[in-house]
Amino acid sequence: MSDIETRLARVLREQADFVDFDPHEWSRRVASAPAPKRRFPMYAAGLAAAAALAGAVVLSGNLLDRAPHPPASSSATSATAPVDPDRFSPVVGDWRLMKIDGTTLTESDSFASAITLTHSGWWQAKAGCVTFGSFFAWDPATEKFAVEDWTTGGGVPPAMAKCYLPAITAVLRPGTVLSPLDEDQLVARDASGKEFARLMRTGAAEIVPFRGNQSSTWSIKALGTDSPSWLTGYEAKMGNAAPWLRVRVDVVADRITITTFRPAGSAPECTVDVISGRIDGRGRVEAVRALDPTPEAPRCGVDDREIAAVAAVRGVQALGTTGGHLSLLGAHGSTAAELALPSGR
Amino acid sequence: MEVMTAGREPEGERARVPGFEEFLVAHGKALLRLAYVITGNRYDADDLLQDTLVDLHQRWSRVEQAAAPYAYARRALVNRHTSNRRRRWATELPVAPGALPQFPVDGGQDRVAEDEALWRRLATLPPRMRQVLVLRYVEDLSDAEIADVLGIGVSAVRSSASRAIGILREGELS
Repeated sequence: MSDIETRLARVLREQADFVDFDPHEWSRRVASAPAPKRRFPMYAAGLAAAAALAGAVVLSGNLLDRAPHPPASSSATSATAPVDPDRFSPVVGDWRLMKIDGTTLTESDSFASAITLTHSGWWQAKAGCVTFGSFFAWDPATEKFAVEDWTTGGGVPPAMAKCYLPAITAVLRPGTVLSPLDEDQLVARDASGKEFARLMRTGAAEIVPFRGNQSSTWSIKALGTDSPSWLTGYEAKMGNAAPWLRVRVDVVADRITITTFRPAGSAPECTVDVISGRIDGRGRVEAVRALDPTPEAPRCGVDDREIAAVAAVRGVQALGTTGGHLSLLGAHGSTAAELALPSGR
Repeated sequence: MEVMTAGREPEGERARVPGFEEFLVAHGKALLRLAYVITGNRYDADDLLQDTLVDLHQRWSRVEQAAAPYAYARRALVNRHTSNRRRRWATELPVAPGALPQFPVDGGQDRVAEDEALWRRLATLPPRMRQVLVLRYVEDLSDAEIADVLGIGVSAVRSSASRAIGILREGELS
């Protein structure tokens, strides 16, 4: 074995040794986890077509070098009327930037870098290791793309700067013209009309706007409790999240209340946080304010992980549905939580 | 508005199957270790293992009948990693700085920095190359066994390993 192979084996094993495994927790997790999502069938076709696109896309180098920063808000962000679902149809879907500046994205980059645009006008961009998202407006007449709010924060943490791909978010800048070439391709042009990127469709958007016209309750349970439904595991992916917390989302007309509990178990259940807001026709959550817990469920004392988890839920910007799940689209454009098994709907 | 009732029977809960718990006790940690070094981060590793275990739970009778249940599960996990890499990303989340890999500090700062750099370069390798390296250096499989797990030829395994080592070595020199 060469030196580097010896080091490689050591590093891999040392890293693996950091892993903790609790078989009982995993047993409960498996028992209640949703069935894994299946691969979108268009993906294979998309990849094949993408291979045929070699050399087709050029992205100007200056855009590649541009430091990530949120552009100024380009339009009003007040409540909007329900959106015509057909309005965004030509651009709705999951897209990948296939080629940049005449060079092919590496396999890992192309798998890790994509844009999702949904009917609600919500977008998410996986730009390497960083996820961004917010609302957008796209005018089919001019094909111009306007980004509203862009993203909360908008900065890239230094630890992630090396794997961040600004080419992805360059496509989403206000003033970019997104022209459908056909059903599965978008051409991105800058203000001067120069084509700087091309996107290949890899799937239909799975997140669709939440229609808040029916009262409903969506709930999740924490590990080891007997509550009737289950968080799919995405909350556990939040930084320093507390997976034992239970979140309930109540929607009555256009009002949404999100309550985070510490589950019952042997002690009385207590409330970690309650927020309330208004949902507009695009699934956007606005006018969010914190509420006091009810006397029946007194406020808990919370630890740092619970504070982090609540902060992510408090950052909810929009609601979307993916199959049987309700998604809280939250801070930094990512999915703050997915709630399974709606009841009372 | 419906109010949840504590103690209600969970909807969609999977039935316990004999032998699955014992399998988790015996092999769960090894599978999670494998998932972690293949994916490069704990969040994706948890997802990968959860999806794999749910699959295995659903076809447990086949797993039990396999000559080597761990090998069966390992193959399922690696295959799912391959397909996950081709799946939509929309629910992926930013990685919190606290989730970055940790490194032991007993070998001095230079070694720590070099190891961290090597770990980061590993993350940039295409999934297939990473899988080959992990199966070779963590699972100690022969090239023929790796070929069997990945469903590719032995020459493709050697070629992937060689290219991956070359990429990592180039990174060391640059």
